[in-house]
Amino acid sequence: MTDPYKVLGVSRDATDDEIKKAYRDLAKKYHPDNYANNPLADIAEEKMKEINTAYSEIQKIRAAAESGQKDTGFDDGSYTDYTGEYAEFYRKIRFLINAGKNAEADMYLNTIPISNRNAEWNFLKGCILRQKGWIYDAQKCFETACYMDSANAEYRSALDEIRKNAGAYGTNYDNAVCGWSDLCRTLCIADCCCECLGNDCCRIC
Amino acid sequence: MFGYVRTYTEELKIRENAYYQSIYCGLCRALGKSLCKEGRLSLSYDMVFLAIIRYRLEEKTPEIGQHRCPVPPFRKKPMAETDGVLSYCSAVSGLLTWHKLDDDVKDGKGLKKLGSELLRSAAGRMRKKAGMSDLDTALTAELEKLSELEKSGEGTPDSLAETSGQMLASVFAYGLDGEKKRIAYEIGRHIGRWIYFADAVDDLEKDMKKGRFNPFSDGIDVGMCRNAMLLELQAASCACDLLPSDGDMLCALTDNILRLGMPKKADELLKKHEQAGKAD
Repeated sequence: MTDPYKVLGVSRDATDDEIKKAYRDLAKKYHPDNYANNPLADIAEEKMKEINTAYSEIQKIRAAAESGQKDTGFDDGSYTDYTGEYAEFYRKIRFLINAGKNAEADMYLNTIPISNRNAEWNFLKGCILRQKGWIYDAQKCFETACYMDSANAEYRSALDEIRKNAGAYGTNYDNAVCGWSDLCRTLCIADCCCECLGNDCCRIC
Repeated sequence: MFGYVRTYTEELKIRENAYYQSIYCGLCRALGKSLCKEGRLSLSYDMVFLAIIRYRLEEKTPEIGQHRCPVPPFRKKPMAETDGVLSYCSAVSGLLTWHKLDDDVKDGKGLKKLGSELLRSAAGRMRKKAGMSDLDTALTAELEKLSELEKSGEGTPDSLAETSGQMLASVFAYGLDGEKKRIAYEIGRHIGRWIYFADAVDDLEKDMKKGRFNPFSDGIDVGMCRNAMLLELQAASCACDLLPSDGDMLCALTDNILRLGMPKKADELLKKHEQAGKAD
């Protein structure tokens, strides 16, 4: 198997942030959006898979090393040991979010060390933020989730849904374009001047 | 305040625009009456929107009378009479203006700081006159939270916007209870958050040049920002739809501002930013 550090082009003693940045840069480069209707799309996809695997490989290696060093401090019996698989843990958080217990879900999410935050983590965080109405931050999280796991349809559709909803609201204004806008503006200014002198010169704008 | 909350005049009926104007003029007059002469200078479109929503919340309509405007004093104009709603909005305007100037003094340097200090001392009288120490305390607490977040460097755009949202939520909901309070809170919160985003985008270039704090100084995603701002408005709009809709002109004005005026303003600000980016 190829060396995951080599795939991402980082040294073995790179910091978590350096690795994350390297991964993100590569993910941006190979992102399917860049290869829409491109005959090389399949190659880009292969590359993407490669760096995804490498990134999660490094995360796993580092999580294992870290958990060996210190206790995670998460005192819910069944989840004390989450060195290997997070699946169960994330399932529980999903359940909490669905039940509307966002504060609790957020608390659990925040117990995961930054270096171990994967696509699912970012997606769930995004869901919590979205429900809170923090749409800008939510989009940032969904975007990160999409970069980390570009094949996941759920992450992508979360981002698309926000765009769609905003678009649906925004069209109101797009339709209401005044064709005479320049004339209107001129008249408005003229109107303001006239108003200063105590009279309205027009009632159009 | 900032004056981002505007109507899209082209789409208003003439009588609706006249109505809006008379509330605007009425608020200006109320500012002079319940604060002081200088109080009129704190007049802003944002506060007119507050007045419209407070009328709808309190299920009242403005009474329009004829009064003289000091500039120019030749002719009488239709103005909303100074009532509970406009007095409240004047007081809020005084409070917010003082806090804005206070912020300028804290951030400012040299001549600008001196200027702000002078203005702040004048606004101090308005603040005293406004009273409502409970609301004042709530605003101060949120502003402190904001400056702490700015200093820590850990504030995300949304967490910063939330302080502004909470400020306007308390302003919109002040003195109300029950269902009305919840609706007012939601409207205020989303409008406050939207204003924070609008102001941040508007000031981005200037802040970067002068090395001042801006939530987007390490990069803004214009598309995401547009989406976020539109969805704030959608949420505010949904909340407004739950208000009693007797005064049909007040309704039409609310809709015009939330669905046309504010999206247009956001678009202008974001486009301005994009063009400035291209010019660099």
